[in-house]
Amino acid sequence: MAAESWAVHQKIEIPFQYTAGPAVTRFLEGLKDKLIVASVCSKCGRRSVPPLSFCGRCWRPIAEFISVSGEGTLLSFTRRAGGDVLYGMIQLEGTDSSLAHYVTGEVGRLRIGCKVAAVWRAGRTGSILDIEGFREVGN
Amino acid sequence: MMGRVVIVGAVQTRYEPRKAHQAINELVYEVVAGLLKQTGVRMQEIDSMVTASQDAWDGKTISSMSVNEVVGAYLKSEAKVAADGIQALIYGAARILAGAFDYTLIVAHCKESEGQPDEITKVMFDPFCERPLGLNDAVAAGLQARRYISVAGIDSRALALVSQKNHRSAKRNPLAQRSGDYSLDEILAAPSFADPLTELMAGPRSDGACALLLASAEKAAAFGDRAVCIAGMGNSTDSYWTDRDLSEAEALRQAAQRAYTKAGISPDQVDVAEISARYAHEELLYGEALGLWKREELSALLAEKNPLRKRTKVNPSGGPITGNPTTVAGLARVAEGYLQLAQLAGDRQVPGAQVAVAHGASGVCGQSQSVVILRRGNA
Repeated sequence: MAAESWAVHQKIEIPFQYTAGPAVTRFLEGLKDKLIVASVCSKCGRRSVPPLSFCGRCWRPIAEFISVSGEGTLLSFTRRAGGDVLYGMIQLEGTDSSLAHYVTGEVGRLRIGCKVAAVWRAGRTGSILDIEGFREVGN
Repeated sequence: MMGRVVIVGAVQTRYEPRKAHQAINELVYEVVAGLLKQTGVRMQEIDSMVTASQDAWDGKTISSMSVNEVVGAYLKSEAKVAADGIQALIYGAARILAGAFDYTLIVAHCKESEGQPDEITKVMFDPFCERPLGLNDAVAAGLQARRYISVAGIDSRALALVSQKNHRSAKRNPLAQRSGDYSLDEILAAPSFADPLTELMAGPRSDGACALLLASAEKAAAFGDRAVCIAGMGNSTDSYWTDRDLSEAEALRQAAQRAYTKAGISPDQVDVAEISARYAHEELLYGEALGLWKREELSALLAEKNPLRKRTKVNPSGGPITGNPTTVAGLARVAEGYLQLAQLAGDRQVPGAQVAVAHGASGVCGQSQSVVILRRGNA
Protein backbone atom coordinates (compact mmCIF):
# COMPACT_ATOMS: atom_id res chain seq x y z
CA MET A 1 0.00 0.00 0.00
CA ALA A 2 1.24 3.46 -0.87
CA ALA A 3 2.43 5.45 2.11
CA GLU A 4 0.40 8.38 0.92
CA SER A 5 -2.88 8.71 -0.89
CA TRP A 6 -4.12 11.92 -2.39
CA ALA A 7 -7.14 13.85 -1.21
CA VAL A 8 -8.95 15.93 -3.82
CA HIS A 9 -10.67 19.04 -2.48
CA GLN A 10 -14.00 20.14 -3.91
CA LYS A 11 -16.95 22.22 -2.85
CA ILE A 12 -20.51 21.45 -3.92
CA GLU A 13 -22.78 24.45 -4.30
CA ILE A 14 -26.34 23.85 -5.43
CA PRO A 15 -28.80 26.74 -5.21
CA PHE A 16 -32.34 25.65 -4.27
CA GLN A 17 -35.72 27.30 -4.25
CA TYR A 18 -37.66 25.37 -1.62
CA THR A 19 -41.45 25.52 -1.96
CA ALA A 20 -42.74 26.62 1.42
CA GLY A 21 -46.35 25.43 1.04
CA PRO A 22 -49.39 27.17 2.52
CA ALA A 23 -48.71 26.63 6.24
CA VAL A 24 -45.12 27.83 6.25
CA THR A 25 -46.01 30.69 3.89
CA ARG A 26 -48.60 31.92 6.40
CA PHE A 27 -46.00 31.69 9.14
CA LEU A 28 -43.34 33.61 7.23
CA GLU A 29 -45.86 36.20 6.08
CA GLY A 30 -47.05 36.67 9.66
CA LEU A 31 -43.53 37.33 10.92
CA LYS A 32 -43.40 40.52 8.83
CA ASP A 33 -46.25 41.84 11.03
CA LYS A 34 -44.83 40.46 14.29
CA LEU A 35 -47.39 37.67 14.24
CA ILE A 36 -46.53 34.08 15.13
CA VAL A 37 -48.83 31.67 13.32
CA ALA A 38 -49.62 28.25 14.78
CA SER A 39 -51.52 25.36 13.20
CA VAL A 40 -54.40 23.68 15.02
CA CYS A 41 -55.40 20.09 14.25
CA SER A 42 -59.19 19.87 14.00
CA LYS A 43 -59.16 16.42 15.60
CA CYS A 44 -56.60 16.40 18.43
CA GLY A 45 -56.41 20.16 18.84
CA ARG A 46 -52.62 20.11 18.90
CA ARG A 47 -51.15 23.55 18.26
CA SER A 48 -47.79 23.64 16.52
CA VAL A 49 -45.26 26.40 15.79
CA PRO A 50 -43.84 26.35 13.16
CA PRO A 51 -47.26 25.42 11.78
CA LEU A 52 -47.88 22.06 10.13
CA SER A 53 -49.87 21.32 6.97
CA PHE A 54 -50.74 17.86 8.23
CA CYS A 55 -51.19 16.29 11.63
CA GLY A 56 -49.12 13.12 11.55
CA ARG A 57 -50.71 11.85 14.76
CA CYS A 58 -54.26 12.03 13.37
CA TRP A 59 -53.26 11.73 9.71
CA ARG A 60 -55.32 14.60 8.45
CA PRO A 61 -54.76 17.91 6.69
CA ILE A 62 -54.76 21.03 8.84
CA ALA A 63 -56.91 23.99 7.81
CA GLU A 64 -56.97 26.10 10.96
CA PHE A 65 -54.29 28.66 11.75
CA ILE A 66 -54.23 31.07 14.67
CA SER A 67 -51.72 33.58 15.90
CA VAL A 68 -50.13 32.98 19.27
CA SER A 69 -48.15 34.98 21.79
CA GLY A 70 -44.46 35.73 21.30
CA GLU A 71 -43.90 34.74 24.91
CA GLY A 72 -43.11 31.28 26.10
CA THR A 73 -41.07 28.96 28.27
CA LEU A 74 -37.47 27.98 27.71
CA LEU A 75 -37.31 24.18 27.46
CA SER A 76 -33.58 23.92 26.87
CA PHE A 77 -30.54 25.85 25.66
CA THR A 78 -27.01 25.18 24.47
CA ARG A 79 -24.00 26.78 22.84
CA ARG A 80 -22.01 24.94 20.19
CA ALA A 81 -18.32 25.08 20.97
CA GLY A 82 -16.69 27.79 18.91
CA GLY A 83 -20.02 29.42 18.15
CA ASP A 84 -21.03 32.83 19.34
CA VAL A 85 -24.78 32.24 19.61
CA LEU A 86 -26.89 30.53 22.22
CA TYR A 87 -29.63 28.25 20.95
CA GLY A 88 -32.85 27.54 22.80
CA MET A 89 -35.99 25.47 22.49
CA ILE A 90 -39.01 27.56 23.29
CA GLN A 91 -42.55 26.44 23.97
CA LEU A 92 -44.74 29.40 23.10
CA GLU A 93 -47.75 30.03 25.31
CA GLY A 94 -50.77 28.05 24.23
CA THR A 95 -48.82 25.72 21.92
CA ASP A 96 -47.88 22.05 22.20
CA SER A 97 -44.66 22.01 20.18
CA SER A 98 -41.35 23.80 20.51
CA LEU A 99 -39.52 26.32 18.38
CA ALA A 100 -35.75 26.35 18.03
CA HIS A 101 -34.24 29.82 18.00
CA TYR A 102 -31.52 32.01 19.43
CA VAL A 103 -31.64 33.01 23.06
CA THR A 104 -30.11 36.29 24.09
CA GLY A 105 -28.98 37.18 27.57
CA GLU A 106 -26.50 35.99 30.10
CA VAL A 107 -25.76 32.27 30.06
CA GLY A 108 -25.40 32.08 33.82
CA ARG A 109 -28.86 33.51 34.39
CA LEU A 110 -30.72 31.23 32.01
CA ARG A 111 -32.70 28.41 33.56
CA ILE A 112 -34.90 25.80 32.01
CA GLY A 113 -38.46 26.88 32.67
CA CYS A 114 -37.74 30.60 32.59
CA LYS A 115 -40.06 32.89 30.65
CA VAL A 116 -38.77 34.32 27.39
CA ALA A 117 -40.16 36.70 24.79
CA ALA A 118 -39.48 37.24 21.11
CA VAL A 119 -37.31 40.20 20.20
CA TRP A 120 -38.34 41.54 16.81
CA ARG A 121 -35.99 42.94 14.23
CA ALA A 122 -36.72 46.17 12.40
CA GLY A 123 -37.12 45.86 8.62
CA ARG A 124 -38.72 42.41 8.63
CA THR A 125 -38.69 40.41 5.39
CA GLY A 126 -40.73 37.31 6.15
CA SER A 127 -37.95 35.13 7.55
CA ILE A 128 -37.40 33.25 10.78
CA LEU A 129 -34.62 35.81 11.30
CA ASP A 130 -37.29 38.52 11.64
CA ILE A 131 -37.15 37.36 15.23
CA GLU A 132 -33.72 38.35 16.53
CA GLY A 133 -34.04 35.81 19.29
CA PHE A 134 -35.77 35.24 22.60
CA ARG A 135 -34.77 37.12 25.72
CA GLU A 136 -35.44 36.24 29.31
CA VAL A 137 -38.31 38.17 30.88
CA GLY A 138 -38.08 36.81 34.40
CA ASN A 139 -39.70 33.83 36.00
CA MET B 1 -42.22 -15.88 16.65
CA MET B 2 -40.60 -14.84 13.44
CA GLY B 3 -39.51 -17.16 10.70
CA ARG B 4 -35.87 -18.05 10.74
CA VAL B 5 -33.06 -15.86 9.60
CA VAL B 6 -29.59 -16.04 11.06
CA ILE B 7 -26.43 -13.96 11.11
CA VAL B 8 -23.41 -16.08 10.18
CA GLY B 9 -20.64 -13.50 10.33
CA ALA B 10 -19.79 -9.91 11.16
CA VAL B 11 -16.71 -7.81 10.42
CA GLN B 12 -15.89 -4.18 11.19
CA THR B 13 -12.94 -1.98 10.35
CA ARG B 14 -11.03 -0.31 13.09
CA TYR B 15 -12.64 3.04 13.72
CA GLU B 16 -10.27 5.94 13.10
CA PRO B 17 -10.46 9.73 12.86
CA ARG B 18 -9.29 9.70 9.26
CA LYS B 19 -8.49 6.75 7.04
CA ALA B 20 -6.39 8.74 4.62
CA HIS B 21 -5.09 5.71 2.73
CA GLN B 22 -8.45 4.13 1.89
CA ALA B 23 -11.13 5.49 -0.45
CA ILE B 24 -14.69 4.42 0.36
CA ASN B 25 -14.60 1.37 -1.91
CA GLU B 26 -11.35 0.17 -0.35
CA LEU B 27 -12.80 0.58 3.12
CA VAL B 28 -15.80 -1.53 2.13
CA TYR B 29 -13.64 -4.13 0.37
CA GLU B 30 -11.77 -4.60 3.64
CA VAL B 31 -14.90 -5.65 5.54
CA VAL B 32 -16.46 -7.70 2.73
CA ALA B 33 -13.23 -9.64 2.11
CA GLY B 34 -12.90 -10.13 5.86
CA LEU B 35 -16.44 -11.45 6.06
CA LEU B 36 -15.92 -14.02 3.27
CA LYS B 37 -12.79 -15.18 5.03
CA GLN B 38 -14.54 -15.39 8.40
CA THR B 39 -17.56 -17.32 7.07
CA GLY B 40 -15.99 -19.38 4.29
CA VAL B 41 -18.86 -18.33 2.01
CA ARG B 42 -17.85 -17.52 -1.59
CA MET B 43 -19.06 -14.35 -3.27
CA GLN B 44 -20.80 -16.44 -5.98
CA GLU B 45 -23.08 -17.92 -3.29
CA ILE B 46 -24.30 -14.50 -2.12
CA ASP B 47 -27.33 -13.57 -4.16
CA SER B 48 -28.54 -10.39 -2.46
CA MET B 49 -27.05 -7.29 -0.85
CA VAL B 50 -28.43 -4.30 1.02
CA THR B 51 -26.09 -1.39 1.64
CA ALA B 52 -26.43 1.68 3.83
CA SER B 53 -24.85 5.00 2.90
CA GLN B 54 -25.89 8.62 2.85
CA ASP B 55 -25.44 10.87 -0.15
CA ALA B 56 -24.79 14.00 1.89
CA TRP B 57 -21.98 12.30 3.83
CA ASP B 58 -20.43 10.75 0.71
CA GLY B 59 -20.74 14.00 -1.22
CA LYS B 60 -22.41 12.25 -4.15
CA THR B 61 -25.86 11.03 -5.04
CA ILE B 62 -26.68 7.33 -5.48
CA SER B 63 -23.84 6.76 -3.03
CA SER B 64 -24.33 2.98 -3.14
CA MET B 65 -22.80 2.97 -6.62
CA SER B 66 -19.42 3.82 -5.08
CA VAL B 67 -19.44 0.37 -3.54
CA ASN B 68 -21.44 -1.83 -5.88
CA GLU B 69 -18.41 -3.74 -7.23
CA VAL B 70 -16.86 -4.35 -3.83
CA VAL B 71 -20.08 -5.66 -2.27
CA GLY B 72 -20.31 -8.12 -5.18
CA ALA B 73 -23.45 -6.56 -6.61
CA TYR B 74 -22.43 -7.02 -10.25
CA LEU B 75 -25.64 -8.19 -11.99
CA LYS B 76 -27.18 -9.16 -8.65
CA SER B 77 -30.03 -7.76 -6.55
CA GLU B 78 -28.69 -4.77 -4.64
CA ALA B 79 -30.74 -2.26 -2.66
CA LYS B 80 -29.71 0.70 -0.55
CA VAL B 81 -31.07 2.42 2.52
CA ALA B 82 -30.15 6.02 3.25
CA ALA B 83 -30.38 5.66 7.02
CA ASP B 84 -28.55 3.76 9.73
CA GLY B 85 -27.25 0.37 8.59
CA ILE B 86 -29.48 -1.41 11.10
CA GLN B 87 -32.33 -0.61 8.73
CA ALA B 88 -30.39 -2.27 5.92
CA LEU B 89 -30.13 -5.34 8.13
CA ILE B 90 -33.87 -5.38 8.82
CA TYR B 91 -34.55 -4.98 5.10
CA GLY B 92 -32.07 -7.75 4.30
CA ALA B 93 -33.62 -10.08 6.88
CA ALA B 94 -37.02 -9.51 5.26
CA ARG B 95 -35.53 -10.53 1.91
CA ILE B 96 -34.45 -13.84 3.41
CA LEU B 97 -37.70 -14.38 5.34
CA ALA B 98 -39.58 -13.87 2.07
CA GLY B 99 -37.78 -16.93 0.78
CA ALA B 100 -36.24 -14.98 -2.06
CA PHE B 101 -32.55 -15.40 -1.19
CA ASP B 102 -30.15 -17.76 0.59
CA TYR B 103 -27.59 -15.15 1.64
CA THR B 104 -27.88 -11.40 2.00
CA LEU B 105 -24.83 -9.24 2.55
CA ILE B 106 -25.37 -6.12 4.66
CA VAL B 107 -22.80 -3.34 4.50
CA ALA B 108 -22.67 0.19 5.92
CA HIS B 109 -19.92 2.73 5.43
CA CYS B 110 -19.16 6.35 6.22
CA LYS B 111 -16.07 8.52 6.19
CA GLU B 112 -17.00 11.45 8.38
CA SER B 113 -13.52 12.84 7.79
CA GLU B 114 -14.23 13.66 4.15
CA GLY B 115 -16.91 16.29 4.71
CA GLN B 116 -17.65 18.72 7.48
CA PRO B 117 -20.09 17.22 10.01
CA ASP B 118 -21.34 20.57 11.30
CA GLU B 119 -22.15 21.64 7.72
CA ILE B 120 -23.51 18.31 6.47
CA THR B 121 -25.87 17.87 9.40
CA LYS B 122 -27.37 21.31 8.79
CA VAL B 123 -29.08 19.78 5.77
CA MET B 124 -31.17 17.55 8.08
CA PHE B 125 -33.05 20.59 9.32
CA ASP B 126 -36.12 22.40 8.06
CA PRO B 127 -35.00 24.88 5.38
CA PHE B 128 -37.61 27.52 6.27
CA CYS B 129 -37.59 27.94 10.02
CA GLU B 130 -34.39 26.24 11.14
CA ARG B 131 -31.58 26.30 8.61
CA PRO B 132 -31.23 30.08 8.62
CA LEU B 133 -30.36 29.74 12.32
CA GLY B 134 -27.43 27.40 11.61
CA LEU B 135 -28.78 24.45 13.58
CA ASN B 136 -26.92 21.18 13.22
CA ASP B 137 -26.68 17.78 14.87
CA ALA B 138 -24.30 18.99 17.59
CA VAL B 139 -26.64 21.82 18.61
CA ALA B 140 -29.64 19.47 18.69
CA ALA B 141 -27.65 17.03 20.84
CA GLY B 142 -26.78 19.77 23.32
CA LEU B 143 -30.40 20.89 23.49
CA GLN B 144 -31.65 17.35 24.04
CA ALA B 145 -28.96 16.59 26.62
CA ARG B 146 -29.83 19.60 28.77
CA ARG B 147 -33.55 18.94 28.45
CA TYR B 148 -33.14 15.28 29.37
CA ILE B 149 -30.94 15.74 32.43
CA SER B 150 -33.23 18.47 33.70
CA VAL B 151 -36.37 16.34 33.40
CA ALA B 152 -34.63 13.19 34.68
CA GLY B 153 -33.32 15.11 37.70
CA ILE B 154 -29.67 14.22 37.13
CA ASP B 155 -26.65 16.38 36.34
CA SER B 156 -23.69 16.44 33.97
CA ARG B 157 -21.80 14.17 36.37
CA ALA B 158 -24.17 11.38 35.30
CA LEU B 159 -23.18 12.04 31.69
CA ALA B 160 -19.53 11.87 32.71
CA LEU B 161 -20.13 8.49 34.35
CA VAL B 162 -21.58 7.10 31.11
CA SER B 163 -18.56 8.38 29.22
CA GLN B 164 -16.14 6.99 31.79
CA LYS B 165 -17.74 3.54 31.72
CA ASN B 166 -17.72 3.33 27.92
CA HIS B 167 -14.17 4.56 27.41
CA ARG B 168 -13.05 2.05 30.01
CA SER B 169 -14.94 -0.77 28.23
CA ALA B 170 -13.42 0.31 24.91
CA LYS B 171 -9.96 -0.55 26.25
CA ARG B 172 -10.93 -4.16 25.60
CA ASN B 173 -12.12 -3.40 22.07
CA PRO B 174 -9.24 -3.27 19.59
CA LEU B 175 -11.51 -1.64 16.99
CA ALA B 176 -12.42 1.33 19.19
CA GLN B 177 -11.19 4.76 18.17
CA ARG B 178 -10.97 6.27 21.64
CA SER B 179 -10.51 4.50 24.96
CA GLY B 180 -8.90 5.01 28.33
CA ASP B 181 -9.30 5.57 32.03
CA TYR B 182 -10.64 9.09 32.17
CA SER B 183 -11.46 10.59 35.53
CA LEU B 184 -14.87 12.21 35.94
CA ASP B 185 -13.16 15.56 36.39
CA GLU B 186 -11.24 15.11 33.14
CA ILE B 187 -14.45 14.34 31.30
CA LEU B 188 -16.30 17.28 32.81
CA ALA B 189 -13.38 19.64 32.17
CA ALA B 190 -12.81 18.50 28.57
CA PRO B 191 -13.45 21.19 25.92
CA SER B 192 -17.12 21.87 25.42
CA PHE B 193 -18.91 20.17 22.53
CA ALA B 194 -22.37 21.70 22.94
CA ASP B 195 -23.00 22.28 26.62
CA PRO B 196 -23.72 20.40 28.82
CA LEU B 197 -21.91 17.90 26.56
CA THR B 198 -18.11 17.99 26.53
CA GLU B 199 -15.94 16.49 23.78
CA LEU B 200 -15.61 13.33 25.90
CA MET B 201 -19.40 12.98 26.14
CA ALA B 202 -19.79 13.04 22.35
CA GLY B 203 -18.52 10.47 19.88
CA PRO B 204 -15.55 11.79 17.88
CA ARG B 205 -15.57 12.21 14.12
CA SER B 206 -14.87 8.76 12.75
CA ASP B 207 -14.30 6.69 9.60
CA GLY B 208 -15.29 3.04 9.31
CA ALA B 209 -17.38 0.29 7.77
CA CYS B 210 -19.22 -2.80 8.93
CA ALA B 211 -20.46 -5.91 7.09
CA LEU B 212 -22.71 -8.77 8.20
CA LEU B 213 -23.86 -11.87 6.38
CA LEU B 214 -27.43 -13.11 6.80
CA ALA B 215 -28.47 -16.63 5.86
CA SER B 216 -31.65 -18.62 5.49
CA ALA B 217 -32.62 -21.49 7.81
CA GLU B 218 -31.40 -24.11 5.30
CA LYS B 219 -27.96 -22.57 5.14
CA ALA B 220 -27.71 -21.94 8.90
CA ALA B 221 -27.01 -25.51 9.99
CA ALA B 222 -23.56 -25.60 8.40
CA PHE B 223 -22.38 -22.75 10.64
CA GLY B 224 -23.01 -24.37 14.04
CA ASP B 225 -22.55 -21.90 16.91
CA ARG B 226 -21.39 -19.28 14.43
CA ALA B 227 -25.03 -18.92 13.37
CA VAL B 228 -26.94 -16.52 15.63
CA CYS B 229 -30.70 -16.24 15.32
CA ILE B 230 -32.44 -12.91 14.70
CA ALA B 231 -35.26 -13.49 17.16
CA GLY B 232 -37.10 -10.19 16.77
CA MET B 233 -36.99 -6.86 14.97
CA GLY B 234 -38.89 -3.61 15.44
CA ASN B 235 -39.00 -0.14 13.88
CA SER B 236 -40.81 3.01 14.88
CA THR B 237 -40.68 6.61 13.71
CA ASP B 238 -41.68 9.59 15.84
CA SER B 239 -42.65 13.17 14.99
CA TYR B 240 -40.05 15.73 13.98
CA TRP B 241 -37.81 16.83 16.87
CA THR B 242 -39.68 20.07 17.60
CA ASP B 243 -43.02 18.30 17.71
CA ARG B 244 -42.28 15.83 20.50
CA ASP B 245 -40.93 15.59 24.03
CA LEU B 246 -37.15 15.27 23.71
CA SER B 247 -36.84 13.87 27.23
CA GLU B 248 -38.68 10.74 26.10
CA ALA B 249 -37.94 8.12 23.42
CA GLU B 250 -41.44 6.90 22.66
CA ALA B 251 -40.52 5.59 19.20
CA LEU B 252 -37.80 3.43 20.70
CA ARG B 253 -40.16 2.17 23.38
CA GLN B 254 -42.54 1.06 20.63
CA ALA B 255 -39.83 -0.42 18.42
CA ALA B 256 -38.47 -2.37 21.39
CA GLN B 257 -41.90 -3.64 22.35
CA ARG B 258 -42.47 -4.95 18.82
CA ALA B 259 -39.09 -6.67 18.78
CA TYR B 260 -39.45 -8.20 22.27
CA THR B 261 -42.95 -9.46 21.44
CA LYS B 262 -41.80 -11.11 18.22
CA ALA B 263 -38.86 -12.68 20.01
CA GLY B 264 -40.88 -13.83 23.00
CA ILE B 265 -38.15 -12.29 25.16
CA SER B 266 -38.49 -9.78 27.98
CA PRO B 267 -35.95 -7.08 28.84
CA ASP B 268 -34.90 -8.90 32.02
CA GLN B 269 -33.58 -11.77 29.88
CA VAL B 270 -31.13 -9.59 27.98
CA ASP B 271 -27.45 -10.33 28.68
CA VAL B 272 -25.90 -7.71 26.40
CA ALA B 273 -27.31 -4.46 25.06
CA GLU B 274 -25.49 -2.50 22.40
CA ILE B 275 -27.05 0.96 22.32
CA SER B 276 -26.45 3.58 19.61
CA ALA B 277 -25.52 6.43 21.89
CA ARG B 278 -23.17 8.87 20.23
CA TYR B 279 -23.95 11.30 23.03
CA ALA B 280 -23.82 10.32 26.71
CA HIS B 281 -27.42 11.26 27.54
CA GLU B 282 -28.69 8.98 24.77
CA GLU B 283 -27.46 5.86 26.55
CA LEU B 284 -29.51 6.77 29.63
CA LEU B 285 -32.62 7.69 27.64
CA TYR B 286 -32.43 4.76 25.24
CA GLY B 287 -31.59 2.16 27.89
CA GLU B 288 -34.77 3.18 29.68
CA ALA B 289 -36.83 2.91 26.47
CA LEU B 290 -35.33 -0.55 25.86
CA GLY B 291 -36.72 -1.57 29.25
CA LEU B 292 -33.31 -2.09 30.86
CA TRP B 293 -34.03 0.24 33.78
CA LYS B 294 -36.58 2.71 35.04
CA ARG B 295 -35.83 6.41 35.23
CA GLU B 296 -36.25 6.46 38.99
CA GLU B 297 -33.52 3.80 39.29
CA LEU B 298 -30.94 5.87 37.38
CA SER B 299 -29.28 7.69 40.24
CA ALA B 300 -28.82 4.46 42.17
CA LEU B 301 -27.58 2.56 39.10
CA LEU B 302 -25.06 5.27 38.30
CA ALA B 303 -23.74 5.20 41.86
CA GLU B 304 -22.87 1.49 41.59
CA LYS B 305 -19.30 0.32 41.15
CA ASN B 306 -20.35 -0.92 37.71
CA PRO B 307 -22.62 1.89 36.54
CA LEU B 308 -25.84 0.92 34.71
CA ARG B 309 -25.22 -2.77 35.34
CA LYS B 310 -28.37 -4.53 36.43
CA ARG B 311 -28.55 -7.86 34.67
CA THR B 312 -27.62 -6.49 31.27
CA LYS B 313 -24.09 -5.47 30.28
CA VAL B 314 -24.52 -2.22 28.36
CA ASN B 315 -22.15 -1.40 25.50
CA PRO B 316 -19.26 -3.77 26.28
CA SER B 317 -17.72 -2.51 23.00
CA GLY B 318 -17.66 1.06 24.35
CA GLY B 319 -20.37 2.06 21.90
CA PRO B 320 -20.48 5.00 19.48
CA ILE B 321 -19.34 7.51 22.12
CA THR B 322 -15.89 5.96 21.66
CA GLY B 323 -16.05 6.46 17.88
CA ASN B 324 -18.37 5.04 15.22
CA PRO B 325 -19.47 6.99 12.16
CA THR B 326 -23.08 7.79 11.49
CA THR B 327 -24.80 5.18 9.25
CA VAL B 328 -22.41 2.52 10.55
CA ALA B 329 -23.14 2.92 14.28
CA GLY B 330 -26.38 0.92 14.49
CA LEU B 331 -25.21 -1.88 12.22
CA ALA B 332 -22.04 -2.07 14.30
CA ARG B 333 -24.25 -2.62 17.35
CA VAL B 334 -25.74 -5.70 15.66
CA ALA B 335 -22.23 -6.84 14.74
CA GLU B 336 -21.14 -6.50 18.37
CA GLY B 337 -24.24 -8.39 19.54
CA TYR B 338 -23.46 -11.13 17.05
CA LEU B 339 -19.82 -11.39 18.17
CA GLN B 340 -20.97 -11.70 21.79
CA LEU B 341 -23.41 -14.54 21.09
CA ALA B 342 -21.05 -16.36 18.72
CA GLN B 343 -18.44 -16.10 21.50
CA LEU B 344 -16.12 -14.22 19.15
CA ALA B 345 -15.89 -10.98 21.13
CA GLY B 346 -12.35 -11.55 22.38
CA ASP B 347 -11.36 -9.49 25.42
CA ARG B 348 -14.75 -7.78 25.54
CA GLN B 349 -16.65 -11.09 25.65
CA VAL B 350 -19.50 -11.20 28.17
CA PRO B 351 -19.24 -14.76 29.49
CA GLY B 352 -22.20 -16.98 28.71
CA ALA B 353 -24.17 -14.34 26.79
CA GLN B 354 -27.33 -15.89 25.32
CA VAL B 355 -29.50 -12.91 24.39
CA ALA B 356 -28.40 -9.57 22.92
CA VAL B 357 -30.30 -6.43 21.99
CA ALA B 358 -28.91 -4.11 19.32
CA HIS B 359 -30.25 -0.63 18.74
CA GLY B 360 -29.91 1.92 15.95
CA ALA B 361 -31.30 5.39 15.31
CA SER B 362 -31.55 7.89 12.46
CA GLY B 363 -32.68 11.49 12.20
CA VAL B 364 -32.62 14.55 14.42
CA CYS B 365 -32.59 13.49 18.10
CA GLY B 366 -33.35 9.88 17.17
CA GLN B 367 -36.56 10.43 15.21
CA SER B 368 -36.45 6.92 13.75
CA GLN B 369 -35.61 3.95 15.95
CA SER B 370 -34.78 0.29 15.28
CA VAL B 371 -34.27 -2.70 17.55
CA VAL B 372 -32.90 -6.14 16.70
CA ILE B 373 -32.95 -8.99 19.22
CA LEU B 374 -30.46 -11.81 18.82
CA ARG B 375 -30.53 -15.23 20.45
CA ARG B 376 -27.60 -17.63 20.67
CA GLY B 377 -27.90 -20.67 18.43
CA ASN B 378 -29.83 -21.08 15.22
CA ALA B 379 -32.88 -22.88 16.61
